[in-house]
Amino acid sequence: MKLILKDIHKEYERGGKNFTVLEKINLEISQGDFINIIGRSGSGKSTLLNIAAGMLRPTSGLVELNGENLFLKNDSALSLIRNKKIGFIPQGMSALPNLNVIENIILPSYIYPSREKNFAEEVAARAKDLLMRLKISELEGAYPSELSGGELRRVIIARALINRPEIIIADEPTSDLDVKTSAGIMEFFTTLNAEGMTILLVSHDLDSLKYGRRVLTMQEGNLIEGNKL
Amino acid sequence: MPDSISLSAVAKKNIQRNPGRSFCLIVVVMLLSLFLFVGTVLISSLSGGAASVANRLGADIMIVPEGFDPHVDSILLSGKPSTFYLPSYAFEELEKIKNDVGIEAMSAQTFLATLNASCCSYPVQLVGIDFDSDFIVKPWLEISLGHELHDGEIIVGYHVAGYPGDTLQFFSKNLNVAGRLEQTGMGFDSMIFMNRATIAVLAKEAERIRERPLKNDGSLTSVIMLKLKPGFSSTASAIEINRLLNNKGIYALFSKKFVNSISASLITISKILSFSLIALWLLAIVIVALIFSLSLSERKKEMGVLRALGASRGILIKLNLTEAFFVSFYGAVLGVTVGSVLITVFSPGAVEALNMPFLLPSKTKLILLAVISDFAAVVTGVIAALWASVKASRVDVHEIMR
Ligand SMILES: Nc1ncnc2c1ncn2[C@@H]1O[C@H](COP(=O)(O)OP(=O)(O)O)[C@@H](O)[C@H]1O
Ligand SMILES: [Mg+2]
Repeated sequence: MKLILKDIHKEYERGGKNFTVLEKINLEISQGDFINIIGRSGSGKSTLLNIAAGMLRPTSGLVELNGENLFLKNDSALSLIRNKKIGFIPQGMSALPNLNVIENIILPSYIYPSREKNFAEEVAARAKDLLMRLKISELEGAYPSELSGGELRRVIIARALINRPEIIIADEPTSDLDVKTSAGIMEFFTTLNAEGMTILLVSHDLDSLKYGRRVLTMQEGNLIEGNKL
Repeated sequence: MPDSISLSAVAKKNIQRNPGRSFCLIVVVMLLSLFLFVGTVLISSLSGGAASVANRLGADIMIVPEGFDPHVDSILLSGKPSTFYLPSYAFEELEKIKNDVGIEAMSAQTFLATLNASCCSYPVQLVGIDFDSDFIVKPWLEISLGHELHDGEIIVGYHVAGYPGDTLQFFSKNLNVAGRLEQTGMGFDSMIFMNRATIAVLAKEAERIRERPLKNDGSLTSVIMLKLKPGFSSTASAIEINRLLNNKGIYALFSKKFVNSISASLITISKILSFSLIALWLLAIVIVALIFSLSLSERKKEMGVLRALGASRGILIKLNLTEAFFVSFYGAVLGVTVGSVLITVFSPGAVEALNMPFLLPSKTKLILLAVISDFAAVVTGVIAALWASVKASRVDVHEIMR
């Protein structure tokens, strides 16, 4: 697994004027990394993560996953890569409200369902395992509106893991959670990483700083090594 | 069974868990398919009735008292009862010119209207026929009588409740049902036929009861049905009869004339119906499109999340169209079901109300119309959702950055 961001520059248009959010970002993420990016609200962290996940096209620069330039692919091919290789955890509450917990978790597997004989059994077994690891087994049949913030985050983490991605990209996975719940989730990421999962996440509470093998700060559209807040 | 969730299951859950929105959509599509189905059945019932009314009638020309042709229209087409008589010399006059105008067969009928009868909740038309010369009623008999129509015996139309062996009472005379007619889609369906001796007795009785004398010379002939020899046109012969028998108080009607007057009203009705159907269709498209567009823009974040999970634009469109397909399908099936009930309940009344021949299409054709209505409604629903679905598939990633 190797994810490379090369000379990423991103401008938005607002009020008819362009303004730069990402100046010139270079970042290389290798197998087993656990990168924690911090930065003030509005500094461009989400923009960077969405570009890294192949969701958002940069104004210039390129994103390579395992040597493949993501933004040269058409929508179907890129979508397939997102589905199979990237476990994306969007900012905020992103469970689908009309599906219950177990359905939310297995959904990514059914976007491109396999014809293999034991497909459904395997997916279900993986889901059960994730529910157990995240300690939400008893919530299987519950709907998102019935869950607490922490429970919802766990569901979304399980969903990101169901297709056994090569990398987890998480946008403020602990925002709006109490200290204890946040810690529990960060511990989970740490364990995942210890098992070999590559993780790129963004956080803005300083409590999360102690997690991650490498901390970067987003400042004025550039990434700076270490905690510069 | 392991837990699984196909995209169509996702669509179904979206429908189930938004009952308000789904209800609105289903009702709109239901109304569309209901009107499509009932409308097309109505049009085809009317045109089915009209198209073959000339054949059904079996007569090329009808001789009626002058000025009574509108009555004849309503008697024959919708069975609205009426009583009137031709002058007594009418038959002889026709005999005289028989060869000049190409008459092959003539059969006299007597019309007598009842006000109430034991069989029917509405007035019925009693018709006296000359069973020997008759070529109008006989072809419609369900089972051939195998004998003359005896005095006191009657043949009843399709909608009359009375079966061989039953007795029905008219003008305080008991009459025995000897046979029934098949469905004709014309006034015949609610008529009662008997021989002319029997109707003469009833007419006398009617006179006594109503204390009103017969209006002319005691003739008991209301109309004379004519069949022409091959090669004679009913239009030309009718004109010729009217010319030859000018000022004799009788009038020759050619049966095409019914068809024409029916067609004229049929065209009007079809036009009104098609116009309303088109208006309704456009309205349905707009409403469905609007509801979808509103609900999808409310669900932008959901769409963005699906994109993040790896759904391509195509899959997103497919998901939303599947949702549209299911609601439309439920609505369409419901509409046709309600339509079928309405048709079964109200079509007997329609015959009277419309004053036009009305013949429900065959079962096969009804099913075909139902399927077509369903299909059209479903396609409409899906097409209406297309624009909103495509728009939703172009969801901005910023939706998931919040
Ligand atoms: N679609 C957009 N159009 C214009 N400006 C945007 C858009 N999305 C984000 N921005 C702006 O870009 C900046 C960075 O946003 P974001 O990446 O969400 O920051 P962060 O995640 O660090 O809070 C903010 O000032 C934000 O208002
Ligand atoms: Mg953000």
